[in-house]
Amino acid sequence: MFKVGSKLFLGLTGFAALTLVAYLIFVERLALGGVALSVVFAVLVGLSAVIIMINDGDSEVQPRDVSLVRASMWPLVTVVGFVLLILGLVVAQVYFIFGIVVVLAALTEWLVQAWSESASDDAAHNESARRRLLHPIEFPVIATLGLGVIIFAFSRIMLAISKSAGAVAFIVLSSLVLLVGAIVALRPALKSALVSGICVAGAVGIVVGGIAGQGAGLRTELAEAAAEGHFLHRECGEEKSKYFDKKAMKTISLRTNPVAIVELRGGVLSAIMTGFNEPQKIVSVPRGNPVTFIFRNFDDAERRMVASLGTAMAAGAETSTEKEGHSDSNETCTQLIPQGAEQALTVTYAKPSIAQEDPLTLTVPGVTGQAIEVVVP
Amino acid sequence: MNHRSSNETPAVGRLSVARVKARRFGQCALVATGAIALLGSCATNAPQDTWQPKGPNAKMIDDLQQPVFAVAGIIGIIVSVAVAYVIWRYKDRGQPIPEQTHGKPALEITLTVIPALILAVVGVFTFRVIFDLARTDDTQLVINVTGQQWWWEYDYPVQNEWGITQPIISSGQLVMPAGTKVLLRETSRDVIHSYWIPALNGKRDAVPGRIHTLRLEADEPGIYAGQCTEFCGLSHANMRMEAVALSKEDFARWIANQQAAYQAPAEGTLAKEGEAVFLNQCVRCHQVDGLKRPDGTLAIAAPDENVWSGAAPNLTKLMTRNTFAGAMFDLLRDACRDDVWKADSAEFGVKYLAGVDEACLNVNDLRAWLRNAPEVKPMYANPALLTETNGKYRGMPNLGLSESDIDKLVAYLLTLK
Amino acid sequence: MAIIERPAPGTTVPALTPAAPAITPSRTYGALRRPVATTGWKSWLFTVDHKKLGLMYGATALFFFIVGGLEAVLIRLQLAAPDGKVLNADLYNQMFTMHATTMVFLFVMPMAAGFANYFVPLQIGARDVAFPRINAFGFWCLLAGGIVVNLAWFLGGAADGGWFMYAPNSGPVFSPSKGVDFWTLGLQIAGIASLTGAINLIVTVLNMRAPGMTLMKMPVFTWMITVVQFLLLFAVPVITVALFLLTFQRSFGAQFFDVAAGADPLLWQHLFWIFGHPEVYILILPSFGIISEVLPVFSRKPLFGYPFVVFSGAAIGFVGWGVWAHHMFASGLGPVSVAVFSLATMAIAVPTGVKIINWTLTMWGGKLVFTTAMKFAIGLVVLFTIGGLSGVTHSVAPSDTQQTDTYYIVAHFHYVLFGGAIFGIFSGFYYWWPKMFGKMLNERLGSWNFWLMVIGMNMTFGPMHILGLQGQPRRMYVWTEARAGEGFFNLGFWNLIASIGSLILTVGIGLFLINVVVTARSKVRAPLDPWNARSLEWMTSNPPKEHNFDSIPHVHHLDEFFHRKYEEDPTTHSMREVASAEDVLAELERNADQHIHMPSPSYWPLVLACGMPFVALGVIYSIPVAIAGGLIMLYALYGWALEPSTAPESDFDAPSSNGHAVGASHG
Repeated sequence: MFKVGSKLFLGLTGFAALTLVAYLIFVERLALGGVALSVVFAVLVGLSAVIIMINDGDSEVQPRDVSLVRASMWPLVTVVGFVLLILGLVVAQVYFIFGIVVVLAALTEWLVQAWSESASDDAAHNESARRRLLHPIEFPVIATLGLGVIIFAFSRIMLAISKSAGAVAFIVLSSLVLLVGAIVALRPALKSALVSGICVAGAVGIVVGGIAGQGAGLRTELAEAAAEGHFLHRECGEEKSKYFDKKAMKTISLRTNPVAIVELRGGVLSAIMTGFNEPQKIVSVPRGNPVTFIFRNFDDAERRMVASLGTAMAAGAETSTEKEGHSDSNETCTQLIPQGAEQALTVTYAKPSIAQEDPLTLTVPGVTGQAIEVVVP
Repeated sequence: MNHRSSNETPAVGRLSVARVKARRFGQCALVATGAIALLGSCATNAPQDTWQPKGPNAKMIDDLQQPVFAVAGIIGIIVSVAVAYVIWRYKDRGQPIPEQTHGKPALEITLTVIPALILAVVGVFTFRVIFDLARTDDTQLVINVTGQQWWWEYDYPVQNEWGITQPIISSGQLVMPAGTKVLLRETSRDVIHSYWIPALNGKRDAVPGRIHTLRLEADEPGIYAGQCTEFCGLSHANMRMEAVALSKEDFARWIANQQAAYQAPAEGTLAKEGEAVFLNQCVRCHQVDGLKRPDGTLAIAAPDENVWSGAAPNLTKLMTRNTFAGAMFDLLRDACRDDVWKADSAEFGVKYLAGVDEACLNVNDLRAWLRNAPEVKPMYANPALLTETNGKYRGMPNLGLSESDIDKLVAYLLTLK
Repeated sequence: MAIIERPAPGTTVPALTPAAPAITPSRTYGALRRPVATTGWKSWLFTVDHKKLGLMYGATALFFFIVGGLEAVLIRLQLAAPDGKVLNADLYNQMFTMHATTMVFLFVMPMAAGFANYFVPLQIGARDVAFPRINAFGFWCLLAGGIVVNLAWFLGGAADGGWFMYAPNSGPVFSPSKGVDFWTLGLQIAGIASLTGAINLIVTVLNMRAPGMTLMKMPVFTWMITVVQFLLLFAVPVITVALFLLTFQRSFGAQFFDVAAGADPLLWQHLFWIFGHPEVYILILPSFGIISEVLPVFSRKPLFGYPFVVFSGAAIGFVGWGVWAHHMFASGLGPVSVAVFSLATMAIAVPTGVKIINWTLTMWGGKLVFTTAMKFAIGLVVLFTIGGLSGVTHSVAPSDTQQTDTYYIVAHFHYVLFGGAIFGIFSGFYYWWPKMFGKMLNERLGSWNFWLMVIGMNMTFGPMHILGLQGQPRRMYVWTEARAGEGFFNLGFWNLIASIGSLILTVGIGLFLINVVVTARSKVRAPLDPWNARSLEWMTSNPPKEHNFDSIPHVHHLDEFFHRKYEEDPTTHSMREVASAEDVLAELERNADQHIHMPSPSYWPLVLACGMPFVALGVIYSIPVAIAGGLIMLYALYGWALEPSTAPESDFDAPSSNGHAVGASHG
């Protein structure tokens, strides 16, 4: 039952299994390499199963017709792959990996084509058998690669042009896609060459745009934010530049049922809590519990609320600042919000007030003499 | 074709008469059972009975639901009687196959409109009660309630009109003044719990990250049982609560005592040795306000370093409460407990404020708890299961205390009142 | 892969003979051919026949019914006395979680799917469903999902967060065992079955009805199933999203329900109940459909107010989307939401009440025959009414805050789901058994079965009303005497009664299983039309041939079969018989269609579904396993896409010889 083709594949599968085992034992346990080798192994198992199932060996005894053998580009591609592989050994690992992928892909194609040419006496049928086996693998791989390239190129364009131009570009592109799609759907008689021509032209356009975008670099504010470290910024003082708060993290626009609503009105800070009919200056908050404050700004300047978290911090306490990797900071804050806006701030106080040197407070930078005291019993 | 003509299969026809009789008997039995059930259930005095309101909020619900139950019961009986009548009247006695009528729209519409009208009336009253029960603007006393696996923490924020000048923190029993509109501000430290004192109001979930309010008001001083009603993990069944209503004067006394300064046990007593054990073991999680280390510094518990949800019951005035371990166990022996629970409202306050003394202490359960807590209350205290929580416990672990340590600790805990 | 047919060893491989073509094209494709077995286990494994799949759904559901029932009995044994010692807290939590999960997802839903699969094509005069391979795929997904969910029992404990799996208790910290992972992934797989089934049946009903069968001439069962499929179509994606989020939270560190990261745990509740409430109607409407077939047949009268029943079913389907938050009255939604959902919940009681009225009026003036199927149907009417009325008592939101999460709710939904859904299913068993198996279930055993179930059910769930109103919460692994009250009839007494009732119930259901065995061993064949039935599914042989109908009937009436047998006497308005069932059938057979083309079986639905548990296990334990599972699925998808639409004629055995030509058939 095991004929040439299946033997070859079984051998490859066995080799892959040995490689996998050796890799797992000697190199590392199931990390990326192991996963990759497992995939290779699984693919080979699948292919061997296919080859065995479709009775490849039966073809051995058939009379051969030379005319059934068709032109093939795979020997050429294999050689290119090998060149890349060797080049990679010398120059850079990325070429090496790319070479391996090309060689493996070409060999797979070659093997299946060679098999299909001797599958039966009917050339047309042989070709369709080849397609049936390989298209399921070729199409998704090519499609994934193509989509990846287009998405990457598009992202380069969007990062290069200004924010408003980006929105326009996005709307224009999506409208174009919709329009072309609608035309194609309404006129099924359109020549397929024309349709694919448009698609290819579009794809090429995006790729070219992407290359140009990569050349142009990031748009100004992104470049500036990267240079000034805005992406990591968590300080709660006065703002540094006009782009400063755009990347502030850990803020949620609004929540219901907060522990208190902190209002800044006419330069006075007060806490409104259900159950208390008067605005309060002291908020009692359970210890070790994520609680949410809502900050409402009725001042005409942009303001943020800052919550001090105290000096006594637990080693592994789950506070928002520590999660960000800035355990030196012992305060957290909302974004700057304009007049009339509101924003939520979720805080956890791990230690009681009595363990702190200073009282825990909620303050607004720029508004002096106003603080809500937070009591953690 | 006689197997399906008007007489049906002989066997089927013969048996059906007997079965209809059996069915009717069955229904009688059912009705009888129901009647017994109702009569029987009235007399049980179950502590969590939802039909025995003891405060205006629960009364409002009860007044709303009793007519609904009555109407539902009447409709149920009408349908059952109609079905029984049809069964008796129209069973196959060899009558011809009836006319193939497809319905009477007028009758249909009438029978659709009637229940709709009944429900509309119910709806109006429901609407009112929903909004009345959601009021928060008439609150007289606010108590913060925090659920944690598997106990409740009560903290009384500063409210000078009640003499609360510093936050009071307690657990096990919610103490509140009778005849006062109390508002609970509920939240949770870990999973969702639900606060429910059936005699005083319906339930309200305690959801982490949210503050939910629940109105409570007791007409009379007394003790009202409750139970966590949102599934909250392993010991959900053991997460109980008791609401204690005291007269306003008694409540003021309770407040004063809760804020009284810590009294260290006298030197040389067993309790003093117990304090040392407490400082050595318990204070890692349990706070006793005012307790000082030998070097004179305040002992501050750090439950957040040992317990996942970051808190453990504050034991400052433990012996003024009647329960421990999330109200799973009583601190009072059965006789003393019954004495408090069954006290009439006039003398209840005095009995409750007496707290727990050595004679009344339920020493067996307390010692078992100190000896190996996870054995008497299921908790995630098995070190093998703590990988997800970075080694932190959920609930009290087994501390491996010796019997003499337990003796000392019990003696010490008895001084906390 | 054992699914490839190979020549037995020693036989000559045709390809080796030089005279014949070396290899026939169909041979070359190997696994891409379609299987052709018509008998034996292969004919079941690779079948796409809606009837076989319906039976497989039924058998699977029945198995899980037994599993879920045993879990329920363990729960009741634990609670029979205070401080029960039968189960520990952990096992108890797993038990009630899995009881609900099993009963909802693995019993009632697949059982309804089974009935729907078997009878919807028959009732609308179709030869199969619109997408036979997807139909098979759905079944295998259900089985795979059921296995994955239950696999956790053997791998460190089943899910323990309750079937509602509220966040954050279902998170990795609070449910550290792998049970919840198995649960989320298993239910996602089982959800595929519901979703594909829904699409399949909707397309079937809308496109494949027999000539003359307008929508308002469709049998009510088919109508209710159609409504259910629409509910599934919109509800299952919601739960899938929720489960997907939970999977990511547990396995990949996402923070959808993590409060410290700013999430709101109520998100889960909304997602769950937006699915969960339509789910209730998904469970109950098929049974409403079943008894809407059974009651007219055994009353010898058409369904009273057919359009009202149909439209009330559709109304329930619509309003069912607007009441989900009544499961959350105690969650702290705020008074406005609570008030709105409270009123909507009252509103949905109206169409439900319409159905009760119509069933009662269907029997009114009829000629009632009390077969077991009829008894279960009447049982449903009465028991569901009780459950519906207790439902109305907690549509009153303030009242619900006292009752929710107590045994009163347990009582309510068991009256609705046991007294409703399950009684309907049992009615369907007794009514359709001769159609499915050609043998009638024993009526005497059936009667015992019914009465024990009625008594057991009322003894088990009746006292729970009292338990709940007296304040016993649900989901407690023990109850304590301290809260049980005084006197003889305290909570302890009612808990004990409920536990005894559950044992009686078990005996009742056991009798059904015995009845199945007794019937299977009996040699007596069922008559062609044992119940004097009314709808199209009875207008064919018992059990039906693979192609269902020799010729597709033209439909003129709602109860087409009945009207072919009976005509109205113009003077007395009573009905007289004009043709026997055999006559009607013979008439159809005389006009048999010459060319009936039935879909060929396929390997790929099974292979595709087999990949899924690997993905699930991979997500839980090791990603490479998931990749392997994904590859299996990819392989199966392409196999599916590339296999020929039917098997070549040469691959089949000799054509069947059942009296008339059936092109390319293998039945």
